[in-house]
Amino acid sequence: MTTSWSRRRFLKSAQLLAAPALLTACGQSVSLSTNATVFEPGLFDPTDVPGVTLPEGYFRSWGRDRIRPVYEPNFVSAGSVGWPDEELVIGVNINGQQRAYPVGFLSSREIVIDQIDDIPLLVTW
Amino acid sequence: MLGNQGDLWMNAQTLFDHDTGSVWSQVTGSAILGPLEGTSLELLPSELSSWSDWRNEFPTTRALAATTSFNTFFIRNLAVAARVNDEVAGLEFKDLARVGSISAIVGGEPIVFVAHPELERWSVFSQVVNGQTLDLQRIEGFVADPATGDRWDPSTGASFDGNPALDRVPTLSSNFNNFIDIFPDAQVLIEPEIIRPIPDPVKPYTIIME
Repeated sequence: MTTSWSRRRFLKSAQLLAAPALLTACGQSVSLSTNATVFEPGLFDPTDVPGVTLPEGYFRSWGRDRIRPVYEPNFVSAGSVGWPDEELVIGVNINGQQRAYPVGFLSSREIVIDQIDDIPLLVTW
Repeated sequence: MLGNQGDLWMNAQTLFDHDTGSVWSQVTGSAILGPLEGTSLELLPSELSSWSDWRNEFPTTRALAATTSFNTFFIRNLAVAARVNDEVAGLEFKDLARVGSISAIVGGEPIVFVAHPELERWSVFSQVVNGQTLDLQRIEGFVADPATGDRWDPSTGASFDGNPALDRVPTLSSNFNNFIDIFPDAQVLIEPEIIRPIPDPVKPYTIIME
């Protein structure tokens, strides 16, 4: 097994909670991805193993990447976005670089896969 | 690389990794099923902020190229928490805002939660500076050491008096009920006045016979 996960970083403000995020997403009738999913067909899913005992409090839902993460995020200057002043953002300040991820957008897409220098980031709401 | 598993665990999102298919918890950052079960990701410092406050503090910030609309999920509704050496402590933001700052020993490390109620932001810092443990508090808008009067910026941890910057502690947030469900062993630094809402009584179904 590779140890690439040892370099992974988990960023959560914000971490935040999926429960409100998912409910909000449903309430806003977020359009689910209609593109082909990017995960490999046939990739092992431990929840599909016959007879598997799922952790207490685990509920199956609609499947992988039906709410599609942002796998290749693009960034622009602060003056280029027209976000409302009151918009809640997850702010990251790493190695002197700052990035802002708007919660209103994350409420529908839930996950942004990003990287600053050699630090892989998971930004999730 | 992580993707969206689409399932819920403890009312929170789950993720999968493209390498092994393991399933991960969004909130704990740990794999809960699959080959990497028990492995944890590293939590990094981040902030929740209004866009205007963040932009004013960091004018050169980059912004995700995305459209959004005003999000009504206010930080005051959140539990704010810190994780040090796999121990978690937290409290509701509104309680933190009321007291300004609160100290705790988490994972054996002395830390201080600091609220910026006027900005609806919060930070958590180590209380160890130059090898000394200080009694840092929020005083008149600053993080300050009452013994010396030295002050630090409550957002960035930068010193105004030539001291080293405060070390930020990785934080997370959630609604309070999810927080105590997922981290039942967490220190609750201030018990909220209302721990759980009283659920509506279950209405019986009415069966209509045609």
